[in-house]
Amino acid sequence: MNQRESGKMIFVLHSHLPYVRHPDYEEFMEERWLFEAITETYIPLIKMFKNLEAKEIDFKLIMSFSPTLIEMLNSIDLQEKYIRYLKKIIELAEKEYERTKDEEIIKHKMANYYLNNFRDILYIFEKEYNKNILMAFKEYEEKGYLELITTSATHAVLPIYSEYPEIIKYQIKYGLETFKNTFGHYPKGFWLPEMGYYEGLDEKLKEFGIEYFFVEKHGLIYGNPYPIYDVYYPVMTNSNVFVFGRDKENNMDVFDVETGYLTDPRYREFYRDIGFDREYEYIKDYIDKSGVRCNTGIKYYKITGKDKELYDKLLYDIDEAYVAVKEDSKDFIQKRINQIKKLKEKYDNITPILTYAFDTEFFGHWWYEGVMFLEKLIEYVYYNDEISLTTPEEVINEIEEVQVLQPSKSSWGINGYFEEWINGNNDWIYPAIHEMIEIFESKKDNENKDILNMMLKEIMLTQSSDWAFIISSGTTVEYAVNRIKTHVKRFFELNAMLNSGKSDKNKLKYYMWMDKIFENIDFSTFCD
Amino acid sequence: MIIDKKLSNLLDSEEPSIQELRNIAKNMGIKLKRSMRKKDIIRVIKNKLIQLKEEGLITETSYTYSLNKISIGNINLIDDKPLNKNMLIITSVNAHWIYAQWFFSKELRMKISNMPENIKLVMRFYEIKENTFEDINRIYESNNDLRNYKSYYFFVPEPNVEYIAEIGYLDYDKNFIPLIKSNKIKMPSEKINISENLVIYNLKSNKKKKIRKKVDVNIVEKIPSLAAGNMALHQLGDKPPISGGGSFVWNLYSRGTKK
Repeated sequence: MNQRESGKMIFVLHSHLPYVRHPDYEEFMEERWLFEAITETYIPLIKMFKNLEAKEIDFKLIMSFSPTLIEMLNSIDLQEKYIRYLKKIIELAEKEYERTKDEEIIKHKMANYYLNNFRDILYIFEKEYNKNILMAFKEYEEKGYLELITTSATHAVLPIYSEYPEIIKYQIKYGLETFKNTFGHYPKGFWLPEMGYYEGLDEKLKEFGIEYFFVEKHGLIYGNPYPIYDVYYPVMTNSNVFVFGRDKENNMDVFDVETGYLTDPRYREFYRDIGFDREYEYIKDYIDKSGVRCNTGIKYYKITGKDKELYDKLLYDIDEAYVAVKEDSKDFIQKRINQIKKLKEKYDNITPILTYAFDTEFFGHWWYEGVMFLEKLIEYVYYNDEISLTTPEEVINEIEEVQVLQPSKSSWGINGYFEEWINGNNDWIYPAIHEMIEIFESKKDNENKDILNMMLKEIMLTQSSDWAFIISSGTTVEYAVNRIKTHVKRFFELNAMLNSGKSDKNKLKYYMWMDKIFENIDFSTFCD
Repeated sequence: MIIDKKLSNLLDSEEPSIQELRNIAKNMGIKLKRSMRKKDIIRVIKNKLIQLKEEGLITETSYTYSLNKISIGNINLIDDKPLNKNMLIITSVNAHWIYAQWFFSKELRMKISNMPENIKLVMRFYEIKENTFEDINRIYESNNDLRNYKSYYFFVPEPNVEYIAEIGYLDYDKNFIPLIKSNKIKMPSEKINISENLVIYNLKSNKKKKIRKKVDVNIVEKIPSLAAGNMALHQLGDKPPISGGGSFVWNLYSRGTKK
């Protein structure tokens, strides 16, 4: 590694949504999760790439795409639904543009901004990338700006299933296959769902050619033995896989809800949306068909102050927010430079590596100005000699010596382990999943491959970390519970078909149509 | 086909407009005649629902699923339980807590039900020292009678070690009689491993060397403070786990939870 450089940063954006696709519905409320993420996060990121490229600013980012998100973004019916959704939002924005002419000037300015922004997004989605924005990320990977990686098939928290090594392998294999089908190559790195690691997982990843992964800080610090450079330099496991430790405290600078940048009063207030504010008759065509109010993406208020009630918020001005973005990104870089100076004093024989990892959707969707923040941050780094952006691949290629250690079982969840995914509210999931796995493994000699492949999909879809997490967090619980029940029910119906020897082809076809995911799946991959 | 609660409510109690009914029928693939009146349309939709249910083609959705025939989790999945097997699976929830779940075969269930009521079914955890069940360091035993449970949370004092569990009972001579054995798990660590022996790998020479280096960290010792025996913890509090805790969807419809 070049010893003259002061320090480097790795930025990982992990993009994931659970598989939510309801082709039998013209509209489905939970499909909006994807649509909002496309509008507020994924396409703004693509716009950011274009801006930086136009300014000839070199940058390096790691982006992880979960297989479920890849499948959804590749889905033709979801692409069509997104266009319908976005056109409706544009129609609403047009109305807002007219309506706000008689309201406050800033509001009208923002209505104009939203209208133009949504039209841009539609153009990028429909015209530039022919409805498949994954091609944009592929394009920027080929240009050398991005390093793309993926995660397990359905984003299962793998340590919870360590008792079933074959299921772990299916999760890894069909994650990688889904990624390859879209991006044309296998990834070198792997995102551990929820950063869930257990001893032995490195060996499984190595079997699939994975060269590196990330763990949360304490997963590395509590490893055996401790890492001599803390989280500021990669280590290697006994299976020769590199591990990068996320520095949680540094990440908190950005997203801590009490002190992080996103709390700046000038930033947009997430919870104040015209989907809730406008009168029902006016808004009813733009919210969920059931009449349940939901976000539209048009928001006119800023955070104003943490102690302010929603009704007491002041109007949002994107130009004012942009001033905050510049201040915050500059502050962030200055803090990192100071940190690197201290680290250099402590570890004089290495170039410190600071690893940042976030849910991609945090930028733009949750923190509206987050993508702008990233763009400014990249600009500041580009024009600064003391710090630079890098990728794990580049770091690995420059390493001469590395410490060998075994990270500890850990996750990035609250308290650092698995309490969010196993607790008194959601633990009822696991006996069901274990029973499904046991049954599945006992049926592998059956000749009905289609049914067994479908059973495997149902197991993996039940394992999605999101359902357990949603139940813990107490929001949209009903949907999560019903998704689990549905997959379990389908699994047992398929099992009943195997037991009776009578395949209900219509039902099987229907389930294959509903859960149209991992279509190349072959359960016999790991059979002896 | 997915049928949701809105539809049932609409048909049963609320007052749907004829246009709403026509839309529902269209979505269900029912062809209507122009002359049909409201009650005729409702009748046709209800008949179609019955037909779909009989064909097993109805899946309930987010709003409604009532999966009458199965329940999941600690209750039997289906009436005719297909898995006749003894299973005990232990999973670490954090550095001290283990979640254990178990199934008994019919034979074992029968055996247990025939045991006298004053015989307790208990769990034992064996701290494995050298990776073999024969080399046990310490044994912990739960006090609770597990006869009426199918899962339970247990506190184990030692993190960063391997455990195997057994469910069994104590006979009249207080001998532990094991019935089923679990998988082995390694508990997470919660403190720095202060070994001074380190291994450094040289990628060019492909050689490993062992070095000794003194620990250069200030170790903060943690004080035990876990809730006693209750893992229905709702530890999420007010802080949205934005990044570092998962999922974007948490935030999406969490309106009103932010202070």
